[in-house]
Amino acid sequence: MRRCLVPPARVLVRMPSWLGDFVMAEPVVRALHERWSHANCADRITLVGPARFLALLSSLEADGVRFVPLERGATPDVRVWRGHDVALLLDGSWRSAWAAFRARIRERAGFASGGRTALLTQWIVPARERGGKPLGIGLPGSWPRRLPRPFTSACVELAAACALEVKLRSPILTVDEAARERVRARIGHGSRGTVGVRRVLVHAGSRPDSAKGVPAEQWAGILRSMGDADIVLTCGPGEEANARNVKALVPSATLLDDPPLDVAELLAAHELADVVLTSDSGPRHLSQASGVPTFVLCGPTDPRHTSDHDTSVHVLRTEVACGPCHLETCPLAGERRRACMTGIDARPLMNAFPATEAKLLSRRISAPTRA
Amino acid sequence: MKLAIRAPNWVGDLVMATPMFAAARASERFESVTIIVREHLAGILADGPCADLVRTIARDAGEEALYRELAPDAVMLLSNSFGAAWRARSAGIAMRAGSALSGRRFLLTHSVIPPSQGGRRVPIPSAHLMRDVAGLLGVLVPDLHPRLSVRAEVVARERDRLARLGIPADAEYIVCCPGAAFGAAKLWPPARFAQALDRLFDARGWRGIVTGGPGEEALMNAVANESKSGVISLALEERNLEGLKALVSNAQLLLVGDSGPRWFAAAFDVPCVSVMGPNFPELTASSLELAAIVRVENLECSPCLERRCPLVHHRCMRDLPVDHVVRAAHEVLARRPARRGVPA
Repeated sequence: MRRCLVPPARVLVRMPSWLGDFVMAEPVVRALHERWSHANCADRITLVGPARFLALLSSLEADGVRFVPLERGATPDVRVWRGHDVALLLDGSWRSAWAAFRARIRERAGFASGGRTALLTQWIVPARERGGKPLGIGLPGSWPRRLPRPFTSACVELAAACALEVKLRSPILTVDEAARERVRARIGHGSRGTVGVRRVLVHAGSRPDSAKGVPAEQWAGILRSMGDADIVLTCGPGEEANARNVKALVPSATLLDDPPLDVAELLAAHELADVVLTSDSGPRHLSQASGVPTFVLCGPTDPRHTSDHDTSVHVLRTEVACGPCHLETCPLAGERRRACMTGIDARPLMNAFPATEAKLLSRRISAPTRA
Repeated sequence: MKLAIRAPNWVGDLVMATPMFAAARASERFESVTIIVREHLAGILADGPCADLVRTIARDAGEEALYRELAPDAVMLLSNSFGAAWRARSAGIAMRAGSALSGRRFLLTHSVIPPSQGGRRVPIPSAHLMRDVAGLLGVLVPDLHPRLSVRAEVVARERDRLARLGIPADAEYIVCCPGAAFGAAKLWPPARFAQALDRLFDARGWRGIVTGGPGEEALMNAVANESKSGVISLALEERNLEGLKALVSNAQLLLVGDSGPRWFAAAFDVPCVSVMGPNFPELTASSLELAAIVRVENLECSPCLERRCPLVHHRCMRDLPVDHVVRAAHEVLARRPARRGVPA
């Protein structure tokens, strides 16, 4: 592959549209920014991505990086894309490759997916697996059996192939001070600071019947065993119903559903928490940036997709014959319905809970300061 | 279920594989885990958390016999050689997981086809590939940063030796490994290593210690002889991989070619400057927090992956000035506060 990511090239980076992928792609953007800053040309970088996520990288904007917010489902504005030398497409969409092509960007690098290879000048065909089912996996992937791999690794490999070296792989996100204040105002001080009482942030939201979501009864069972912990429930837009059901079962919890926290606030809430509990959804990746000890209840997704999580993240899952199916809703009925989620043994979480105190202490001592 | 792990045969790859060993050991899936390592490399894993899992083999022939003795249910092939897969199959191991490289896919029951472009393999870090292979056997590896251990008595022994050679017990030093088992194409001229060590001595006051593997004595002596800052060569001393671990773990900096000891520095969070010639930098692009890879960019013939320069000019190394290496050393030393476990 051509080593095209060399300053002072004008680079457009299309960030992923999913929160988790967006966060996992951050180390590449940071490496790019550092290298271009070193060459005094950070203003030659353009980031295109979902408007609601770009706030997480606001420190880059202050340094001259241009942000082009993209609304959900909107077609990229080719005029804005013109004038760049390199398009680094970290998403998998055909439309972004088409936009880069139409904008006549000379070097267009991305993953060979979605039939867009013809539009790219440099691409990586993702790794694949062959042979029998991997251990612990009930269902092999469908053809061409792409190997489930951490997205950060894939982004780092693409960047490296284009001559960009990524030194630090943990995401660093900007906590917005205003968002931090808004969250503080909503959750108050609670019991925080009281000896032995921890604030537990629970991403309890999920879309109705979502296979990835943790049922309210399951959350309630876990939360009730946490004694006098200060529990804060959050959810995303459209996910309020499940969080409200959890609140009904655990009345002492604080529910932040009206309105749900935006992404900047969610990151601030992580910073204010001692422990995070979540399903395998976007917010879990904020934990890696904040370093807060996190327990992830992983249902129908392949754990290899996110296996390079920080050691502060603990994944709980159960192995079922029908998973990982990656389906939006569980197609099964009876006892097998959502068994990948309801069958998770949460005892490791309970056992590990006291140990998080020590980790928390070390995190506060050693965590890098983030603007 | 019993698992055997066939460890890589290269020093660097073996160090890179340590997170996979640790994750396999931590997995509840396996009742026993055995790591099969070439005898001369066993010192690398000595004193570490998986040292008790190691079984050594002197020759390839011993590998198959060991498989038959262990009778594992599965083997994780972290070595990419055809022979390793062949011997695992010959030994009748039911589940054989590895990368689909070296034409050995038909020998494996579970394989990873690395990322590619136009049918050609895209170079990716070896650590990524090993992580992917481990995943085929349900072993999830959360952190790819390698870790090694060394006993206090080995460290003390090395310090005593340095004291005998003129470096006091409290003095700081730089370790230099100018050799490369791969071949002459990876060698940076000894005079330049010497100049770099002299410049770093002038700037920091750290003396250089040159060491290396068997057969690299002439190279080590050449670096020491060319230097003007009293660089010490260990060519006449007894050297082994455990001693190297101790030396590197206490060094301020490791100055190295593109060779295995580079990964010792990563494992002990020691700053490292690696001078790279005919290799793909992407193959080793992991654990770079305290590493700087210095190479000549935009050479048409590089990376050639050849053991000897086929064009004879060897520009990938000869065009690499001392200035670049020294600058990289200062830059990577400035990053030291980011060392793991050390507050900024």
